[in-house]
Amino acid sequence: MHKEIKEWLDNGVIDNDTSVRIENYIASKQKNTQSYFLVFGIIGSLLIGLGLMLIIAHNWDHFSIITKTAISLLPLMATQIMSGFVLFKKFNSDTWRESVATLLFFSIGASIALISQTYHMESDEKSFLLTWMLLALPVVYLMNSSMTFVLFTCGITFYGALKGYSTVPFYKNEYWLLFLLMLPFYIQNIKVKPSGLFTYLQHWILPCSLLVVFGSLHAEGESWMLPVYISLLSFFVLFSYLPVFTNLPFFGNGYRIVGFTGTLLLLFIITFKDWDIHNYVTSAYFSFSPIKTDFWTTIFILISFILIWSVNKIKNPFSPLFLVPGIIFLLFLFPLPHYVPTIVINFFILFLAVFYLRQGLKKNHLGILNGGLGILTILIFCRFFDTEISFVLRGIIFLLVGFGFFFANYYMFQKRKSDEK
Amino acid sequence: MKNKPVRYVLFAVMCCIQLYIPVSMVLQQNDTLNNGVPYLFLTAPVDPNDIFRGKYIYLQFSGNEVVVDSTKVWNYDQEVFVSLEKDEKGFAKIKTVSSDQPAVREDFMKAKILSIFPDQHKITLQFPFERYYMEEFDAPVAESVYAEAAIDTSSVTYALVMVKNGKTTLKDVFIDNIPVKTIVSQKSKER
Repeated sequence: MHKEIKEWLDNGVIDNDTSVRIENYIASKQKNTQSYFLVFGIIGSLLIGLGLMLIIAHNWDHFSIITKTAISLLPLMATQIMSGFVLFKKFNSDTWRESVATLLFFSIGASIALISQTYHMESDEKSFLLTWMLLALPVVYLMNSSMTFVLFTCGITFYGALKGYSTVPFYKNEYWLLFLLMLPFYIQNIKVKPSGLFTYLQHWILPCSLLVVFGSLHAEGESWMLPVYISLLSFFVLFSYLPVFTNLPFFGNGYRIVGFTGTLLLLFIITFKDWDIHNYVTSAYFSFSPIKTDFWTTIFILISFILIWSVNKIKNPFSPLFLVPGIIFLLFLFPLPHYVPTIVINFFILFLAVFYLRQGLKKNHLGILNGGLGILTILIFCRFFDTEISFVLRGIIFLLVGFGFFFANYYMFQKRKSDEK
Repeated sequence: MKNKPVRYVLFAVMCCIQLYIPVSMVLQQNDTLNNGVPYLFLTAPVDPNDIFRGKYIYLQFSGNEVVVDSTKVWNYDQEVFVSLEKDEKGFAKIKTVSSDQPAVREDFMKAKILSIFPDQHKITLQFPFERYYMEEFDAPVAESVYAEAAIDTSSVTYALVMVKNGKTTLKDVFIDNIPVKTIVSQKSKER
């Protein structure tokens, strides 16, 4: 094709601009084809890997121990050879690298699983997962494989939850170390492929992994889990405003979406009068103790929060959600009557709704405007469960909010029209 | 990693470690199987509803209780060293439990503390060989055979375990001196 374009150009059939446009068009087509190959390559590898695990799960009793051992090592050796080939010859092809690395990831698990079954070994999922993940970590780096990174994160999250939600203290949970060990790959990915699909996926999977395992920091008799989670979620929101994340598309910024929805969800739970924050507060305030992991985790997150805020000077855009951890912390710290936190949080959510409504109008942004209206509607809806208002009045309130939605959007459209003129 | 040779070397090292771990597991298990001391562990009566675990039989043992001076020194899930001896019928019996590896040359294995009963000065142990893997289609048959035998007080069910230097390997499960796999293959033929 390139030859033909050159020939057309030389013979004056097309001009220089047209030839550049055609070349660009062909390049974009090729990129699309490569993406398809990548997706199908990975899906294929995932299916083969899972199929391998299932066939091994059958536990072929009729084979001798030696045969079973050989079978358990075969897939591992085969995928290692394939990985070696890719490393030498096809390292620049994302499709080859990702597919083979995914296969290698599963082969490691399959071979340990089959050996464990052959010798009826210790029935401990935790040690199995830990061995698997430790052996798989170098694959992430050496094969430079984002898919393996995602699988590895899922694996260590499962391990972290299994280990963490038992009686083990948090510092004995290897999850945190494994999490730190995989961070350099993530940071490198953000630098090299800031707008890669896998990078977006990683922006989702990391906060989700932390959310799952953070609950395990809860030690017996402690009640600081609400501040811990609120601080963590608000931290995600703050984190999502760092310069490296500002140019991401909406759905690419997992931190912001997870942080926003999580914080709002927890705040809405507190607004219910039956949900007695006081129960938590009475056992929590003034419980400063060096062994209270919940309390110290909250302090740690808050300090990092303030540090990031001040060092990076994230003033614009300001989000009122940044205030949430502070408010919750203060509510937990002082012995207030039990209705005070409920009222404070109700008014705070009302403030949030009004803030986003105003911001939406000011910025002429339909998404923010409707977000504000949405928060307001959910708040009103939630209060219906607390109070005994007649159906007629509830109906009228909903009609008003509905009309509010309609008029706000209509007003915005009109404003846009007049701006365009 | 820009430096290609370094990547190649590290890749080779990674492959060796990835192979070394499963191979060393196999070698260690084979060593215990071939050179270990055989111990027969009597299984406990079981609730037939509680042993269905897919493709393996879930074994529960009768001699896993130990009377201790004080339960305060033990923690739930703690790893302990169990010295073994044989009773007059030839079945395995716990001699002592300790948090340190026994210094004298005697047969011992590792176990975990399953529960602590302070009132009765008693702890119960979880043995590291609770699963006996069977082929997918045989496992349900084996489970029902094992369950019937385990609740039938007249039949003796036990596991043959090889013990060496604290390592254990479950070799076989017997019901009235017949390997469970033999019983299962007979039952399968009858069906």
